[in-house]
Amino acid sequence: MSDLRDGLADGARAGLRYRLHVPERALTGYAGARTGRRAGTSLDFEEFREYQPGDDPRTIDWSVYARTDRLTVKLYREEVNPHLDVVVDASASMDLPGSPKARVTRGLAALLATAAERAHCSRAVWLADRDGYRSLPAAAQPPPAWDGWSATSPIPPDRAWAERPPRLRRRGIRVFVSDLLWPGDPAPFLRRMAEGSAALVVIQVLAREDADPTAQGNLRLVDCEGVGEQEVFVDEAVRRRYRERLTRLQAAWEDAARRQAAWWFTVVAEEVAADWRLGGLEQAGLLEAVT
Amino acid sequence: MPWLAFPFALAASVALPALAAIYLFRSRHRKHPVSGLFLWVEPEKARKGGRRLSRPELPWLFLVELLILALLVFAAVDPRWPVRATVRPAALILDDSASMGAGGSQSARDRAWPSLRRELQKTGADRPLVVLAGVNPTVLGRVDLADLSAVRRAWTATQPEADLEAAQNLVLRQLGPEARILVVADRAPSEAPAPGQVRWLAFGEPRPNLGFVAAARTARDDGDLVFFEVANMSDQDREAAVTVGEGDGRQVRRLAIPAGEVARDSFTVPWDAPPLRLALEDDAMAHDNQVTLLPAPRPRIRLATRLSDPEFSRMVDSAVEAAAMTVPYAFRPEVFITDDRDAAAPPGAWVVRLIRPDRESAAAYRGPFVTDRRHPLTDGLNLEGVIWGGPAEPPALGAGWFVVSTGPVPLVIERPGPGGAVRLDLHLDPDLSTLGRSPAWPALVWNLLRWRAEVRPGVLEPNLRMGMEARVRVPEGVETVEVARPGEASAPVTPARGEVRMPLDASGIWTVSADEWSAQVQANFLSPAQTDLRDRTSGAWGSWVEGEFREVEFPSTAWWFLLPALGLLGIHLAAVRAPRVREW
Repeated sequence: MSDLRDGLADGARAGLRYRLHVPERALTGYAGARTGRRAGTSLDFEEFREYQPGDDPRTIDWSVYARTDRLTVKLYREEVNPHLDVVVDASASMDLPGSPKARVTRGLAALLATAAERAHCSRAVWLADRDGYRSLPAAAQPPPAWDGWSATSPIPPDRAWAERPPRLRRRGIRVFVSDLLWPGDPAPFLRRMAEGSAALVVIQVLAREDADPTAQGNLRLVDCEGVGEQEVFVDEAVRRRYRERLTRLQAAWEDAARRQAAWWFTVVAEEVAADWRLGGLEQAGLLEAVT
Repeated sequence: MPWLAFPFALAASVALPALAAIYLFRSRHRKHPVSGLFLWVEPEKARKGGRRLSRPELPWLFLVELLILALLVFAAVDPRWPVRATVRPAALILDDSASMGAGGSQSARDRAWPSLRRELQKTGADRPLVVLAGVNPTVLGRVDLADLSAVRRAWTATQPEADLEAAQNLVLRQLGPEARILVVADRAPSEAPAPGQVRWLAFGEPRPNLGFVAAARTARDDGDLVFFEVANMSDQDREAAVTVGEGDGRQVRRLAIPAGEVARDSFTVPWDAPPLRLALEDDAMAHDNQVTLLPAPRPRIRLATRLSDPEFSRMVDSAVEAAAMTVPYAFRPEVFITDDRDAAAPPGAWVVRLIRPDRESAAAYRGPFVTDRRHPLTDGLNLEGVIWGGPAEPPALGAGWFVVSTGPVPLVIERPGPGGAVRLDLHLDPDLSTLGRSPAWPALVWNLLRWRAEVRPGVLEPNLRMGMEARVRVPEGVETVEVARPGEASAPVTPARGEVRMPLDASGIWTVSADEWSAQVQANFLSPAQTDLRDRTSGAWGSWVEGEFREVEFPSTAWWFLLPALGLLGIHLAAVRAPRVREW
């Protein structure tokens, strides 16, 4: 447990070096510290436009309706708070024994939360657990104070979505942290994840043994999530085929991410834990380094 | 020899489970958690996951290695295979002594019989030579293993002794030193059987037993003295009830006998009493529970004397009277004693000439005296302390046998007489001798008369131990006699040198008859060694595959296993050098 706490602390410490880059699409929140692009309830009137289903009825200018018999709403330039939803895979595979995978996963969430805080973003952390997605209660607290986090779920995030989907903030920035190691088509899952979001970032966290296994000999491979186990003799040929399958899986996720205009990153836990530098996210502009 | 006695075989045997353990442990799969099993295995295989127990992975190389080790184990124990061409002659020696039949249906003979054919088959010979070991070995000939009934009938187990060593020597003489000999007995061998030659099987069992070990009936003045001994061959003190006689006149004599001891008893019966039967109660062995004693003979030698020397006359008369074995008989005497050098010998009589040397040429001898102990006259003769007056110089000698002499001077000489009669010359000067007053003189005369009695038709000792040889003199002129064994019909026998010799291999009365004449000999089972059943045992000793015969008859076949092992080793080496591709 202290190792996981260390992960949160390390992530929070590393997050101080970054600020989350808020995409323009995210600046459509309700009243907040920053000016959003979407008309809202702020006091700065911007223009009229015809009513569309889903608009707040309170914005209908009834006087215009009286004159023109047309439903017209008043648009204001609203001040919004951008929001970050960190969706974390809490399945058992995220706590691969012998690897810093769980620690780095928590650290990444803490890093993103800290970087978001420095960008004046609100935040929420969602865990894909056995009963569905649940919000981390203490997510508003500094990451080291986060509690109630465990990675023991026997089901992957897509099945957890079917159990209870997360209540993700519309127009928010969504970061999905997972090893993505479950069979199935990633496209439907990412489509639901991206729906209503301002931006979607998919970060695949792999242990080094996940990315490039070195084990060999007679092994009884036990799936962390209890899917099953299989006794095989592992040699280079087996490992080669494993890497081929992993590459095909990653390609499928990357393709699905591209279709949802999502960022796609893969990190190796051992490498992240070494210096907590996320060069890929920096280069993609998702994180801005601050001095 | 157990395979554990071969160090290499033992080591290789240990390697067998070790190899299996190596493969089992090698095939035991180490637990390895993974994040996504579906990336490792085909989906179909992944669904089979979760099975906790799986069959051990035993590749064909393991079987090859196991086979190689097994072959090496077989090779290391030095296996041998009999070469048919070198099958040796075989012989079966059966202990025919009475102890083999002791114990009724549980006797050693009955216990040995069921396994006899199987043991004989191990010799490899189809028709082994069968020898019964009794007092003397009896060859039954070569018998077919398929039919041993004749052996069973002949194996009576009644002999008072089993000379197994003589039987083995007989077999070796007949079959040669390469013979395989199977000895079946009821006791352990006295020394280790000859390696590669003798296999000794014992089927005996220790048993308590009482039995007669000695019995005699001798003539006395007041009748026949009956003497017997009973041995208590058990671990407890016993009381033996000896039934004397048969029918209404029988009586029981009781003897208290300590454990392992022998008790004696004697009594007198009238000289004309019929054959006397002594019997013990039934126990482990029946043969030693009874004896029969025939009346003791009382021979009377027809004696004639012609003695002019009063001293000689006195000496002869006193000694003859003491012997009580003669009757005076002038016509056709059997023994004629005289001091007349010129007296004519009666026809057929043995002549004893007492020769007094001339006074001038006489000398008294105090010994030492040389006595020929082979001569019947010297049986029990003791001349120590005797002064013998004889000729000072050796007399003129013809053909003769020195029976007693001192220095170069012969004192008693046997010379051949006409018609096989005996002629004795006894040189003696009674005036210079103490012989006539010593015990040696009546002993000498008694031996003379006894000797003469022994060459009479018939026997002087009718009660003999079984196993002894009975010598029965037949009347002169008889060329064929009928000999009847106990309980059997008579058979004609031609006497040799006037007598019939009968090895008493059966207990009971043996009868020799010719015309009106007949003689009987009683053979009694009196054998202390057979009566003592306490040391009987069971077991097996010796082997036919030892020593020099082992290499010749059972050549090693280790190469039968070594060659395939080497071949498999080559295959194994080739297999492990080849790249191994494992698909799943």
